[in-house]
Amino acid sequence: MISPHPNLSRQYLPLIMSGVILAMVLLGCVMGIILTLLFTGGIDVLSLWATSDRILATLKSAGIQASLSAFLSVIIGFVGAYALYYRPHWPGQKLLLQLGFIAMILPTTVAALALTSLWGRTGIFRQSLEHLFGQDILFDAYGLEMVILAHIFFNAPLVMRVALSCLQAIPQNQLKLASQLGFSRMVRFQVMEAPALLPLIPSLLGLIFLLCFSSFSLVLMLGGGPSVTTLEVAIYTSVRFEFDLPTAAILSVIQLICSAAVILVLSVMTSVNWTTHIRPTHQIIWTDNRLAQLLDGGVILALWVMFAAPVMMLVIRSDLAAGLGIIYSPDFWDAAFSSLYLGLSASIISVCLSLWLAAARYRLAQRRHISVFRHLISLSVSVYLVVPSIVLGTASFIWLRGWIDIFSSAFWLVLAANVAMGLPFASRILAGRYETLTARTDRLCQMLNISGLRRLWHVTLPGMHIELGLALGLTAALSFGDLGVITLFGSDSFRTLPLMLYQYSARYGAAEADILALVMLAMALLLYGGFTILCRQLGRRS
Amino acid sequence: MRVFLSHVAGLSGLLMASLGLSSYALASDKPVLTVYTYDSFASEWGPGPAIEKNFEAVCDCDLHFVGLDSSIGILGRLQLEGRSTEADIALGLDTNLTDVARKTGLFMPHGQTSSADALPVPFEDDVFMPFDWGYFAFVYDTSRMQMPPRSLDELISSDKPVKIAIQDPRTSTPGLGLLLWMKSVYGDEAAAKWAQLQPKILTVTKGWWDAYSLFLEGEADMVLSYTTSPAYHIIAEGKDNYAAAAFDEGHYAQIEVASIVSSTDVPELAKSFMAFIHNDGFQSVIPTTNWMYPVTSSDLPDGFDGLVSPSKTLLFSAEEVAANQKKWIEEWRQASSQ
Repeated sequence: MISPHPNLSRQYLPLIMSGVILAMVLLGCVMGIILTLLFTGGIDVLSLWATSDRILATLKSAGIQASLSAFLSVIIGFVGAYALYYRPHWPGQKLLLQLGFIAMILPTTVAALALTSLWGRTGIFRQSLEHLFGQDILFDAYGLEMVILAHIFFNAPLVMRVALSCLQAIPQNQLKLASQLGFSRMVRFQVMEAPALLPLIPSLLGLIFLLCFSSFSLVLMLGGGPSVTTLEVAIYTSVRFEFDLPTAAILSVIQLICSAAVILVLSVMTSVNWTTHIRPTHQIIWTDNRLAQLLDGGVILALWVMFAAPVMMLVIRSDLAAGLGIIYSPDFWDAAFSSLYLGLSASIISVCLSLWLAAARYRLAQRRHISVFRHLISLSVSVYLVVPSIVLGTASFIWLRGWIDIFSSAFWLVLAANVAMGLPFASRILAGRYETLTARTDRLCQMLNISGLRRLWHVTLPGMHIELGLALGLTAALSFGDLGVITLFGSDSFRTLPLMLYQYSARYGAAEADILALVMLAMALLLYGGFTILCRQLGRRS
Repeated sequence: MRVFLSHVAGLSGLLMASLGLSSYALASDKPVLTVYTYDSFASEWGPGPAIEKNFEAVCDCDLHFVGLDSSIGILGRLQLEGRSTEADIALGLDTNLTDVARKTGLFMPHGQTSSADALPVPFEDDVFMPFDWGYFAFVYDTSRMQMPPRSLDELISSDKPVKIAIQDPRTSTPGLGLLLWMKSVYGDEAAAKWAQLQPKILTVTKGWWDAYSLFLEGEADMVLSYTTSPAYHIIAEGKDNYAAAAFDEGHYAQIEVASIVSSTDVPELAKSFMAFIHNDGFQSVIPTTNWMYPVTSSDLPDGFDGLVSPSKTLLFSAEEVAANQKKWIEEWRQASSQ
């Protein structure tokens, strides 16, 4: 087949070649991980048999927990979106929606601490209920309920955003018609709102199930013992507690199979866009009775208590005078700089890799006869959705153990895991925009004879400033706050803030932990906000 | 945009440069002796600083304590690091684990004669050197709990809404101690008793310090610690409202040990530290910093005299523990998961 622009295509050969090689390296790493795991544990059927009880117990525990978390998150998110949809003009609504975005970048360790300050044994909710009823009537302070609560805290706001944007997408003419026909709220729900929300359910359930099924830090901090566990936690305990690498490898393989299965099922469903922007709509103000208003009010109040109260409580409870001493500790500064390095480098690297792959993939799209490479590039990114960072860490540990001193190269391992974690996110945000932008400017650039790095510099990057800011901000905040691989390789010579918070929240003093949590919250917001605002400003100027 | 990118480039350069700098360690002429131990031992409130000062006064070396997040974690960390470890000494395992630890081949004979004459049971080993000992016990706050359980059985079977914080037997020697305590009292019924105890367990922590902090902050009513823990509150804090509950079945004992890591690059220095363990510069520090009994006879400070002294001392042999540890831990894990 003859390409429409033979010169144009040849010009991109180095880009395409390097992109394909990069994709092969990324895929090669995953292959290496799988082979390492199989050789370490998977082949030995006897040991699989010996640990099968334990594996089944873990799968059962994680399955129940993830199902409940997903189910409750979707219900609460829907109810919340429904109430917000009807009350768009009440004060504080915008802030409540913003919380949904904060949930994406809030470090899990901070959230765990915040939730304990509310629901823990000395938490304000439990204490006041104890005063009222004379005894502790709430669920256990550590255990299944707390883990589910934390998962709802993280996922329901996202469900709420997605559901609300779906509700707001109901066409204006339908709304007008419903208003003219005088539909009651019940009827409107049946004919318009429920049909808009229903298609979301399977993919939302699937996605949240996957997230909670492979949850790590929240289960570790709030699970309260071996009865509440996930494969991730079991892998971590096998490596770090029992030095049982074959079991860790078997568990990792099972985790890979489980997440691959869920992803496969999800890929045939309608995909959900987490980063949807909520459009302010000029919607019809429905006249409602008092009861409906009261109900919506109750729901919205409950949402505030559930999502905003823990973080507010952390601020209120924190004892600045007692905890501020931590800033005099050199360990704190070491950890803060390590985390900042990690966040910044991981985000920059994953954004660069994403752009590179997107460009190669786009240029390959012009040559239809080698579409296999295009799929290869897509796969090289999305495959990292399937590999949780604990599995990645465990495998690379087994893999590299004989060659390098793992603990002194911990930074690079954690960085690699964070890049792998950020890659699918960054690609998702950047790839679409890159393709539309490049297609639109191709002819113009050809006419002006702008190409290569000059084009990237003057045309592509400025044209993508919003997406770049979002991708950089999100991946930076995510890497900054991640408590994953670092639990395997962290030591007193290399620590990050999340690890430090994990250790402090368990020991030393609550005052220091609170301050640490606030610092982390501020830094995560700063990283996210800094990148998005900076890129937006620079893009506007150029 | 160009401004932005040059900033990014500059930042990345800076980043790489400082990474290079941070891996550059300050070299010192003195040999360094690195001791892996558990966190509370190495902390500023633990015995670490005083022992460091006392040993450095006689060794012309740099003693460096590394506090890991749990006691059995020391063994796990050494196994993970293999021969590339920086550790010269592992300090903080106990006699239950000596056989398990010996089989890893990570430790070498210390070559010193032990002068431990104050142990609850005789202990002599060519690889592991005892440095302190104590009895496990549940500690409670007398101002919050007037009627503590008088036996393990009462703790397990009473219907009072008591919440206890315990440690994980896979990571923490106190956690393993409780597992063995239960096993030595209940034998084959231990699993059923664990299941019965389950609702009273607030949480299972990785190390002793985590659990004790939960207790001090009021999250747990009782915590698995030592009969000697109240001495800390009496002596260091002047508080007399903490006590250990004496149990009729007897208390499980713990003898903590130290050992030389065989990959050490300073074997002579490590041996002199092993000898130092039974000197006054180490032993006199133990009671009021690690809040345990010293292994050589000496006068104990006031505050230690009113402590619970168990009617019966329970202790498995290291061989028995090594032969059954995996099985018993699995039994515990299953019983706790129900």
